[in-house]
Amino acid sequence: MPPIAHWRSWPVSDVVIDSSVAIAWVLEDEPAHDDALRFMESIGDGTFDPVVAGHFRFEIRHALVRAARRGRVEWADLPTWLAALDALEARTAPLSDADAPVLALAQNHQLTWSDAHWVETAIRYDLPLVTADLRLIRSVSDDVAILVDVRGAAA
Amino acid sequence: MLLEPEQAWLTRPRPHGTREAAVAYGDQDDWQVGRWPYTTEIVERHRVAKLARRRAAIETIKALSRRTRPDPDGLTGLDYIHAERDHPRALEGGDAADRALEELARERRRHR
Repeated sequence: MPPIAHWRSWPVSDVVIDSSVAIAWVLEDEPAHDDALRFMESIGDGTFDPVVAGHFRFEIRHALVRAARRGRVEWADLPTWLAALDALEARTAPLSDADAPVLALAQNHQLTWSDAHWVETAIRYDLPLVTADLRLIRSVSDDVAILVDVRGAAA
Repeated sequence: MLLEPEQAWLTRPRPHGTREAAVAYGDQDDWQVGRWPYTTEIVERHRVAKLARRRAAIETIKALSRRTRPDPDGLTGLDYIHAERDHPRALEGGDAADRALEELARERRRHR
């Protein structure tokens, strides 16, 4: 069964969303922006309840600072951005204290430490991980975790 | 979970098994989950209020995103996230992620 069909047949409302989805919300010309907005609407109507991993706040703030430095967003808008993203009230899943499963993911799937934490969080909570990162999706097969491309998540 | 000041806890009736004294429950601030009783109506009211706050945040995000501009070199938000992950520190000083992004931008310009 292809991963997206697997996702559709899984009656969940809680989903882990990674920072690539959030940055796709922010930047209007991102390839996944329109799909990410549609997915965000489904958070607003209660179809999905977002869960983020403990390093989400750092990642999204780093990305916003980069975006401001490259002139894509106004520095003056950053506090409003951060407040608006926090106001989505995504639940934060703490990062695992156990290194072994994260190391195994990093080793077996050539993931960065940060990506391995995203996947480990999805596995630990038995939830799909919605991402805009195709490289991450290609790295992890769906017998390890269900990774959903945000471009198809709201359909 | 709504945390209450210690003093309020001391002056409140102590829970006592199944005969726990009910906390006086008003409807002034019950959008914050944490007070008994968790009736269907109250839980639903919390849910509706939370979705309303989320929709307001979504409208703000959509309005702000219309004010953003393209990257001059075609870099994406994902490039920013990856740069931060892959180049968190520069031993020689400065910002390693900035330099990595600049290198990536040069590469994109060369291929344009």
